[in-house]
Amino acid sequence: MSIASKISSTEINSHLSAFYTDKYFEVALVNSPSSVYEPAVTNDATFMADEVPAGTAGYQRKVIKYVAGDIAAYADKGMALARKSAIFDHDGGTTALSFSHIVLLRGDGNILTLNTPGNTPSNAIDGTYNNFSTSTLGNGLGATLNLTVSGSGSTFTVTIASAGYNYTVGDTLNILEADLVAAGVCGTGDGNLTVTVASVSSGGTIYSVSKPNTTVNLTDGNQAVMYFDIKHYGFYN
Amino acid sequence: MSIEPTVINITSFTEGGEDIVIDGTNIIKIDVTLGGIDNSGIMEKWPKISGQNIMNHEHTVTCYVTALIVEAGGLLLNDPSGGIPYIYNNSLLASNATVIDGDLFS
Repeated sequence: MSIASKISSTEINSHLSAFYTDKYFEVALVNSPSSVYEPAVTNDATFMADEVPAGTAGYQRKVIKYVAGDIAAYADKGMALARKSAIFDHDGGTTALSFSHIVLLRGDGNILTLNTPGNTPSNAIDGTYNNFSTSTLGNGLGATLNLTVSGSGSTFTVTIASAGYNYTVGDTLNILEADLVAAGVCGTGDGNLTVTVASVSSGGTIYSVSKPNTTVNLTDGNQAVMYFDIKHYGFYN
Repeated sequence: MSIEPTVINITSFTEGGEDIVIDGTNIIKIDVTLGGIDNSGIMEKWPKISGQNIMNHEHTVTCYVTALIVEAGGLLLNDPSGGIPYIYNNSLLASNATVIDGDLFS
């Protein structure tokens, strides 16, 4: 005779810590209404080949990250992670952002660490400046950076606000001078800031697939929001 | 009288016997006969459970997804990791949001 044992909350916590804490996930939209995702049957790469092309109606994947504080206490026979969200904005153009599936993937190419800045602006003003968008010559998308200037403009500390995705080690991220000027970091002609990627995550496998009742066509600048609530249950009878 | 210790990496022991492991763990297996007294007053030996008691570890992962569409400007900002500020009470809907489709899965 076999019985199902009660799983301790400590054990479930260990699983959550190992597989989610400080890990990145990506939310992607796939447009293939006739496709059916079957775990262990459907090929991930084949399924993701129908992802909405980056840039279509403003589309790019959204990145989610879990931290230790996102693990909740044991309740209702399991342990949950904090709710995470992804917002997709239609860019207001004439092309609709259409999708038939919402896919959650293990993060791949999310920036984990940065090297010290290469090029830095002159005449920089001490302070903390957040959420600079970046450009790169590589394939990465979505990374945003925070900047702290200290030492009367002599020291620059760059940290990751949003890790983006599809980056590779060695990619150069560029914060444009215009953005630095707009934020009050420096003046016109003082130059831009560059920093290179030191390490990135690896993954890319599908975690879950959800299919809306009908294909969604996002238009007119409208917004779609998805909430993800992950919970681990330790079964007991 | 001294008892000669068995090997350190003992992995099984004889039912009903007693084994001592050098690392300090004592493993004692006692054969217990289960039974009940029937109407005649004679203890009836219950059939022995065959095989091993296997304890299953069941672990279920569930990912609940909720999705909705609103008109432009109807959502509050989440943080760069997708988190929702505590004061928003797990919803990014702005108070003046116009909901176009409140549940993409219904």
